[in-house]
Amino acid sequence: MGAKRNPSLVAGLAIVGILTGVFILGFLFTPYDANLMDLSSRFLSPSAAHPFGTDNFGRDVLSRVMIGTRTAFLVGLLTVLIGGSAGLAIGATAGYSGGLVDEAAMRLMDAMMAFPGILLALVVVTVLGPGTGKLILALGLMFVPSFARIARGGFLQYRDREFVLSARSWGAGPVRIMALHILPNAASPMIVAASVGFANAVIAEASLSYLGIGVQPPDPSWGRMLSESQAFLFKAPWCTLAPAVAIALAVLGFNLLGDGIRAARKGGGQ
Amino acid sequence: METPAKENLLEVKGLSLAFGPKDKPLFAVENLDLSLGAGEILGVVGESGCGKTLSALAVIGLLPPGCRIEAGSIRFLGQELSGLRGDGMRGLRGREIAMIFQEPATALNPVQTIGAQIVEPLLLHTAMTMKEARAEALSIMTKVGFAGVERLYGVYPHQLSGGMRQRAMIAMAIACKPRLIIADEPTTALDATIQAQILELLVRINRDYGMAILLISHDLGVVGGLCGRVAVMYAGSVVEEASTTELFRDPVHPYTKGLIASRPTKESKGRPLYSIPGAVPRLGHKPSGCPFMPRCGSAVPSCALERPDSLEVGPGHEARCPPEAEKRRRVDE
Ligand SMILES: Nc1ncnc2c1ncn2[C@@H]1O[C@H](COP(=O)(O)OP(=O)(O)OP(=O)(O)O)[C@@H](O)[C@H]1O
Ligand SMILES: [Mg+2]
Repeated sequence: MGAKRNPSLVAGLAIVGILTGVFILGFLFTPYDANLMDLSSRFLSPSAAHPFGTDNFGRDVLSRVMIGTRTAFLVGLLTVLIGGSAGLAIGATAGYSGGLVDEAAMRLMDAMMAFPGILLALVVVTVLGPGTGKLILALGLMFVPSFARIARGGFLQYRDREFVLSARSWGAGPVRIMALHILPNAASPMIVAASVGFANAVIAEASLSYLGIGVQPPDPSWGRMLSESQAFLFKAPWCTLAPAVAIALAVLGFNLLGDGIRAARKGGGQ
Repeated sequence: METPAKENLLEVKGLSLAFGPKDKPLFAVENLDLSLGAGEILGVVGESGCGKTLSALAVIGLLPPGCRIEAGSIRFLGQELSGLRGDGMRGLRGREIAMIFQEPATALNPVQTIGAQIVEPLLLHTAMTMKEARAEALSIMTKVGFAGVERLYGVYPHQLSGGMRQRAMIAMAIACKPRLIIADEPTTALDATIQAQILELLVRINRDYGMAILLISHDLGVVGGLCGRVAVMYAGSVVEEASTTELFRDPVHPYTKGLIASRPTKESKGRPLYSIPGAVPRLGHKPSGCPFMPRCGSAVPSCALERPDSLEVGPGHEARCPPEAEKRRRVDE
């Protein structure tokens, strides 16, 4: 697969690769302690010692962006995992069984979809109280219907295929057929959805944290870094720019990756 | 309860399969009788749409949605299958009864390797470990004619030719050494030389493992070559059943006669083949009398009155044509 034939995939992989590198590096090493305040070095503009400058408490912005990557990835990963697996289970069962089960499950998903996602998350966080864990739960819940729809489509498409009949003819049960025979065939739209979902989770986390109901201080989050730095946007623009670029890169990267995978599955066949 | 001295492996009696509303059923299969002894090969022949596939699916308990068993029984090893649900039937599938489909290109999972697909029934129905199952799969692959099994174990269906795919299907079907294999037009999708090889393979499997085979085909020539007995189906029922030699020597039902006359033979070379005029009645358009009557050259008025019964016309030879059966009886007397 050359860069010419699938530029989205290549660019997406590159960006996601770099971010993943930063994410992993964040566990091992950051230039400074991300929460270490040093009031003698407030609002330092970018320099060799502080490549992204320092903020109003004299904290190193690069270190905070790196730890923010960790938060974003953690939230994105777990959200997609929760939303994806619940959505897969519901959608697969609905699509494979059809009939009343399908009807009931999909109407429930419609009802959830009709509720604006971010509002749903807001309600959950307001009821349960703020915190990273609850944020992840709320976002995961918000993603269930879209994953369920995609999974249902795939399972519906494959359940009447002859190879499924053939698998049934040697005694495979429904769970085995869904997991071992249909899922691998129907996986690519799910993978694409996961990638795009990851990007959406990053945005949602940033939004909720920006509103102050997501990740709680002092843990750095890109969204909260944005909201905290807007007060001195003109005095120290680097404090806003760094997390903004990080968010944009992550969203772009995962969306490109999703597009790239879609194009690759379409063009390359099996 | 009576227990016959030797119950047949498969006994289908009076089986009717219908689509449509319960009060106005459309019969796709009507009053079907089939019986198959252990280790026997029974050929089932009939035109497209006469209900061969549905009958096969009924035996293995996989009727399509909307199709139901209206009447009749399906007994396998003395056990009634027609009411069996869920786990009971699933335990038999693959282990005691297996099916080979017409189109190996679509009946194999495109994203699973050949080896993985042969191993699966073994893992499901036997206590084998993965390692043992793999070894068994390799030996089955050798048995069905794969050369270089170690390499082919890991290939995907689309990397194989049609004939090889059908061999893979056969390998899956025989993996657990079932007593009965239902082969639904196993060679229709293949070209003539490959067709002969696959049929030869089926005969070898029957001989070496003693597995009974229900060989479904629309080609009397295919079936005649390898089956001891043949059942001829028309519009959902068996119209004639006899040993292969008897059937070819002395066909009774006009439909069977037509089928035999329309086969290419040495004598007919270069001449146009005979074909039975008309077409199989569509579902819901079957005449109320003998379904073959509109196409029959020797019909009599009574044929239009009711569904004909199957009558014995010789030892082990039955035909669903009372007028013809009557003629024989008069000749015999
Ligand atoms: N899923 C279905 N829904 C409605 N009608 C069906 C369905 N499957 C089969 N039929 C009808 O039932 C009849 C018997 O079909 P069946 O597939 O058993 O025929 P066949 O003898 O196997 O034919 P072929 O040689 O084409 O495979 C046909 O008239 C067909 O139109
Ligand atoms: Mg058929």
